[in-house]
Amino acid sequence: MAAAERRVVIGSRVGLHARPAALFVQAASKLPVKVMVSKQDTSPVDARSILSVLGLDIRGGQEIILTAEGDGAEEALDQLASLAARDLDAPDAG
Amino acid sequence: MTSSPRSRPGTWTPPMPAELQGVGVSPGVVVGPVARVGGEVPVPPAAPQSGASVDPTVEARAAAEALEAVAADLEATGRAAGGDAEAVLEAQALMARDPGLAEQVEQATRSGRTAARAIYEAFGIHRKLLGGAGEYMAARVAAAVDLLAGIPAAALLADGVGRPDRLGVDDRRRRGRGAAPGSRSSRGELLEADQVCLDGLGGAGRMAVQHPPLRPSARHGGASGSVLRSFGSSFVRLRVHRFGSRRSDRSVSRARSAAYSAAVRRSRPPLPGAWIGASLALPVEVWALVARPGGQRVVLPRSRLPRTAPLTA
Repeated sequence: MAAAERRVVIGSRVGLHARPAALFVQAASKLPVKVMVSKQDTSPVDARSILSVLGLDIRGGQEIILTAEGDGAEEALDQLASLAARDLDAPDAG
Repeated sequence: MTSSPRSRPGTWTPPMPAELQGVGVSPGVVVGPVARVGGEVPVPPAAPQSGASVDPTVEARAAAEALEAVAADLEATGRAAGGDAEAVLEAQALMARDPGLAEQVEQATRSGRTAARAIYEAFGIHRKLLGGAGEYMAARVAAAVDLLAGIPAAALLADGVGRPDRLGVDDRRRRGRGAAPGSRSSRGELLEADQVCLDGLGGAGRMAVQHPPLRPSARHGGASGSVLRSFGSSFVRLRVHRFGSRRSDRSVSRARSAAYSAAVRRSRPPLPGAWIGASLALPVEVWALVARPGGQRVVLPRSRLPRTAPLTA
């Protein structure tokens, strides 16, 4: 089965750091499939790993690539992509 | 007054200040787990001090338990604090539960590392990665880097629970206790603290608050405690629990007083200061103090952790 993929622009002004990163990782951890995240020029890392996500240095407005395989991959990617597109640093984001 | 212990081959000794000077101080209410920031975490031994062989299964389990203990502590503190501090501490708990980190730790234990050393090395990988990601990144993940400095020490502490001999941890020093003058945890009193010092949480859990001028209070025993100063580390961070603000009901006050009394009793000599083995309950709000040993004043006492602002700027 080919890996499903989503490309999404980060909606949080601060990027995937601090609170947005935590919310992103928490959401990824709840998904039934393992999602990998990368930037255009980086190797994919486990979206459930906050240390790895922080290490990608994903900034607001940048595009990330989400990939996953297996049953439920499409739905999982939709969920995570939707979350990443939001401003997760907004007061009501949590 | 005491002097720094000397390390012997095969023995890991927590760093100690070369000289301790004591002054009287009132036992106070600034109490809580401490995390060191900016300094180097003492490198734990790769092999058990006893010379016994490493059992990878045992070490892996110990490491996992230590990380989970740290994560749970962060979450509990966050829940008690609420607000921004809770969000920050939740993120830090995620780091302690990071699956990639856990895998690296397990690999290290399979290679014969002790649990403490495995955690130290695994965090070192991420610390280097984050620290080398450029100025922007360094500012954004300052809290993460702080955590990477602090959590291995805390993990050492957790690892030492039940097995203090492995780390040379004095069982009586698993928790540090700071003492504030006046015995009330008001903002004003915290602001007056001159130094908040911690040296090697993982090793000794030593913490002290110095308060010149001394303002002894009879409320909780007056100047019966003692305080250490002149620690050699750089910046330190103290996560303290503030009592009696949002939940300043009498039951809290009574519990607090009882805890203090017990703590003070336990901190009497031969412990050279306000060191206790108790972790006091009922945290209401997290305060953060940043002090420069030898400096003039506390820098950032406030109701959130000191690195919160850069994270959200």
